[in-house]
Amino acid sequence: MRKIKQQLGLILLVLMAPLTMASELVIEITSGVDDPVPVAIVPFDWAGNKALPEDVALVVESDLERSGQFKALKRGAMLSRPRNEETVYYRDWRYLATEYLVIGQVLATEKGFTVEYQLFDIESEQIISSGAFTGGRDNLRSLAHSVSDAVYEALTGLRGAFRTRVAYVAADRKVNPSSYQLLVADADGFNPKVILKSKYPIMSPNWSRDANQLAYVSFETQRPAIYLQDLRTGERKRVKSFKGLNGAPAWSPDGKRLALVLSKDGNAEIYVLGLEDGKLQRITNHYGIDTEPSWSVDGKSIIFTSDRGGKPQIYQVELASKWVERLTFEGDYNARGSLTYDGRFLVLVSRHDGRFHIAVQDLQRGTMTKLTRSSLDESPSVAPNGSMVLYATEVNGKDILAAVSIDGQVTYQLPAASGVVREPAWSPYLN
Amino acid sequence: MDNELASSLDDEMAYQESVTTAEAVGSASTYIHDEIEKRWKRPADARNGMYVEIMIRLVPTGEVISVEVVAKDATDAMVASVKNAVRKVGRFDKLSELDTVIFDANFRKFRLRFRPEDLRL
Repeated sequence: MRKIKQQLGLILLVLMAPLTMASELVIEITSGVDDPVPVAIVPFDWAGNKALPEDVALVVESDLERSGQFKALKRGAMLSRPRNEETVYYRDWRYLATEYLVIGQVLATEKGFTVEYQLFDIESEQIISSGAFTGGRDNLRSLAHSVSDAVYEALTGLRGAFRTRVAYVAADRKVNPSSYQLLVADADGFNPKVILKSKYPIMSPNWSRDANQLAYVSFETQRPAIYLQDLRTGERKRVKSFKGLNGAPAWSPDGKRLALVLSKDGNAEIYVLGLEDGKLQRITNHYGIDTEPSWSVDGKSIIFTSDRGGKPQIYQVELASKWVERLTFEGDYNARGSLTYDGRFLVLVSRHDGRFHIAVQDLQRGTMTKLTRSSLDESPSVAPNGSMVLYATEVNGKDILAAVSIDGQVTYQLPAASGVVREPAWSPYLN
Repeated sequence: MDNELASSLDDEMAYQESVTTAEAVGSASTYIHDEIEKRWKRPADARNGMYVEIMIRLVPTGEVISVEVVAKDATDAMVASVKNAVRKVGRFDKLSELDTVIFDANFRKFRLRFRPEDLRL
C-alpha cells in the first residue's frame, strides 16, 4: 500500500512538473534498505610458525555483525581465500552476493604485530579502504578492532567504536566479606581487567574525555568518596570530600571539571568542581533530590534527574544562568539521562507499566522511543559514535551487561561475568 | 467547421501526446526511484527528517556522469549513503530506451531528494 501511494505521488509529481516549473525533474526517495550489508572477511594471512593468539578476521567479523548493519559470509561458503588484490576474483564474490570483501595479513614485528587490510567494493571492483595498524604482542585483538573501525567508517561514514572500552562494577555479596571489583574490558566484553578490588561498594564509574582516567565512588573509608584513577599508572587520587553524600561524578567535555552530587548543604544537589583550581560551584538549589548529572555536548549545561516535580524526571540546567528546564514529560519515571555525541538524543531509563526500560527521547522531534523489551534495565551508557547503548539488565535471574542499537533494532549481550555486574560506562574514543 | 474539427483534433493529439509523454516520464521516474531505493542503505545515524538533494547528470545510455549535492540537512554519513546509492546504480539502463526528446527534456539532468520517513528514529 505504501508502495502504491509512493508511486502515485511520484507520477503526480511528474504530471505536475510542467505546470509548476520549467526546471529539473525531482524524484523523492523516502525509504531505503535496512537489511544488513553482505560482507566477506577472509581469514587473514599469517606466515608465522606458531598460531596467532587471535583470529583477526573473526574479531572483525564479530564486530561488524554485532553492529547489526552487516552480515558476514560463512567461511565454509567462500569459493576462494584471496591473500592479495591479484587473487581477488570479483565474479566469485558477486556469485555469493557479497557486496564488500575484506582481506588482510598479520606480520610479525620486533615488538608485536602489524595488521594490514584491504576493503574491496565488489560491484565497482575497487579497493575503497586500506591501511595498517601496529601494536604490541598483547594488542592483536585491539589491532583487529582498529580494522573493524576503519571498515565500518569506510562503509557507513560513521566513525567506528569497536576499539573502545567499557568500565563496570562486579559485586559478589555471597562471599564474606563481600567483594566488589571495578573492571575495564574491551567494548565487546573481552579482556576484562580488574582496576580496583574492595570489600566495600564501588559505584558510578565515569570516563575522563581522554579515556586515561576513571572517576568513581568508593565506600572504602566507610563513607562515600569520589576517586580519580589513572588507568596507565594505577595511581589514585581522592577528590576533596564533604560531609554527607559524595556521588555520581561526571567528567566535563573539556576534562577540567567534575559534576557531582553533594548533600553537604542539606539534600542532594548538583555541584561542579574545578579539577585544577579546586573551586566548587553549586549548580542546583531545590528541596527536591537532584542527582545523576551528565554534561551537554558543549559543556555549558548539565542534564540531571530530579524529583522536584513529585516524580523523577530529567531536567537540564544552564551553568551560566542556572536556568532549569524540564526535558521529559512522558511517563512518571525518567532517570539517568545522557546525550548522544550530537546532542540530539537523550538516552534514559523510563518506567512503563512498572517495568524499567532503556528509552531514547528525540530532543528535536520530542518523541520518546522504547529501546528494550526487558524489565529491569538500568544505567544506560552511550557509545561515543552514538550508535549503541550499553546497559545493565537481568536475564533469567542473572545480572548481565547488554547493548542495544540507538534505534532499538539490534541487541546483544556481553560475555557473562561472574557475580552481579552493573553500572557500565562506555569510554570515549581511545587515542 | 472543418477548422474547428482540425483544431479540436490537434488539441486531442497534443493532449494524447502530453499524456504519453507524462506516462513515459512517470514510468522512467518510477524506474529511477526503485533502482535507487533498493540500493540506498541508510547509515546508523540517519534520522527521519534529514534531507539530501542531489543533482544527477546522465548521458543517453543512462550512465551517471556526475553527482552534485545541492542541498542538505544531514550528517556526512547520510550524504555518503546517498552518493553511494547512485554510484551503485552506475547506469540506468532502461533510460537508453527512452525517446531522445523525452530523455533530453527530463533525464539529462534531474534531482533526487532523499528524505527518510520510515526510520524508527
